Amino acid sequence: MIFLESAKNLFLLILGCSFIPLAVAWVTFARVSMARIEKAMKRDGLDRPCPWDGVGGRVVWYACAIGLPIGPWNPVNDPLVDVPLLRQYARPVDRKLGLAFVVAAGTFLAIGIFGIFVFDFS
Amino acid sequence: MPEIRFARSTRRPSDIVGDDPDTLKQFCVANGVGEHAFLAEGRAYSLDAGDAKTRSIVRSINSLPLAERKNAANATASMGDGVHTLSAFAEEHLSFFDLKAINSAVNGGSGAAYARLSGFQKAVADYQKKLMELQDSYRRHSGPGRGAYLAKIRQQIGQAYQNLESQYRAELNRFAPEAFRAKNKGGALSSAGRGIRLAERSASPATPDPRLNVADTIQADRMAKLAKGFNYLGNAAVAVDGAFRVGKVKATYDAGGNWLKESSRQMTGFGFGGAAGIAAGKATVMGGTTLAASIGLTAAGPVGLAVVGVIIVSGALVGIGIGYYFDQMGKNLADLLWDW
Repeated sequence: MIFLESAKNLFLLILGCSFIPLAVAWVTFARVSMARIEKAMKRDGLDRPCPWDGVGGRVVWYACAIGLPIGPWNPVNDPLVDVPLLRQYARPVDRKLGLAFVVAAGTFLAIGIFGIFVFDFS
Repeated sequence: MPEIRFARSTRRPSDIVGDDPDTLKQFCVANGVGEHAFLAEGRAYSLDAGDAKTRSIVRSINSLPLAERKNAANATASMGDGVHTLSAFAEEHLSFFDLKAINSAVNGGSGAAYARLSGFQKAVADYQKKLMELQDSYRRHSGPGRGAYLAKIRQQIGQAYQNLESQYRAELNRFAPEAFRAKNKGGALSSAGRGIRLAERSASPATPDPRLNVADTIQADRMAKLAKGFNYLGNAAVAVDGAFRVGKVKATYDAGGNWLKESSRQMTGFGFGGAAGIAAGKATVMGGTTLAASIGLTAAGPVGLAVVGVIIVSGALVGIGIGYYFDQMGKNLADLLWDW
């Protein structure tokens, strides 16, 4: 078993496994929640709340705005996205998906950043 | 930089510049009007016939819908001689999009656009709305009850300004120096009394047309271009990264190496790096804004906005840095999976 030969390989296996829920949550949230919300906004004659985004990075901002409760980590006047407007359009299922996405992304990042400091990847 | 004025009432070019044929001709050419045509109320014009830019600027302002032009004229009138206040305000605090939001909140009153405005902008919008109400009533409201009605609006203006002053002192001081507070000086943001005076003075028919420093329009234009530029930059970065990776796979193929393995390495690196880079960038922006808020800088204030700029740039840099490591990890994982 190649993954058990060294701690670095085991780390990569764990990181790879943590990527799977993130990938699933990412695609689900983007297609189910984000696409529907943007369609609804367009129907109501509103501009997309993230004019700065070109490649789809806004999905992370949407997930945080919708999935996290309003507070210091999800401020109402976020400079990059219109949080109150997005929350108006969110259904309960969008909130759950958003939270799942934030948790999955946080886990993936935490594991990977741990690896940056422990193993040599430069 | 030509000075743009907004016609307060409908009149002929000769009413503005007089009957001298040469001056009249120059004025008409610069503003794109016929000598006997009328300048409608709210139409922008300029007396700087010698400036080469005048014609295009006047044309671009006049291509705005009438409602927006009137709004600009009203806002200019209620900000008074403090054109610099207005332009500093627009340049430093209100991006093009925020300016649009303020105007639509003033016009629409409620709804989603209003919810967009963060605290300070909302307070300014309320104050401006009251000033414009006073300006309008001063001009049109006549007959019995006029005095009492105007007094009521003046009182409401005082309250709106107090709200602005008590909650956003730091932002206010930036645009209207404390020294002007007790005097009849500066722009409408200096004090409620100054705002009321400017609104009433600009409403009286004897005053000249409201003037607008054109630098605003150009800056607004620049802001919009900048926002679009960021968008293209993001797309271009991804395309360049993709092309770079394809190039590596092609090089491996040309050298007779295992190009399938190389392509799986590059793809995993791309996915890991991209996902982690974006998420880490967001996390940095989140942490940075929380930190800024904890030391009393709100994103709404002009100072806060500069801080937010730094945070966003550092967020992007952290994203790129983290993305690099996750790219390496993705490639290593792909190597392991390939050999497994």
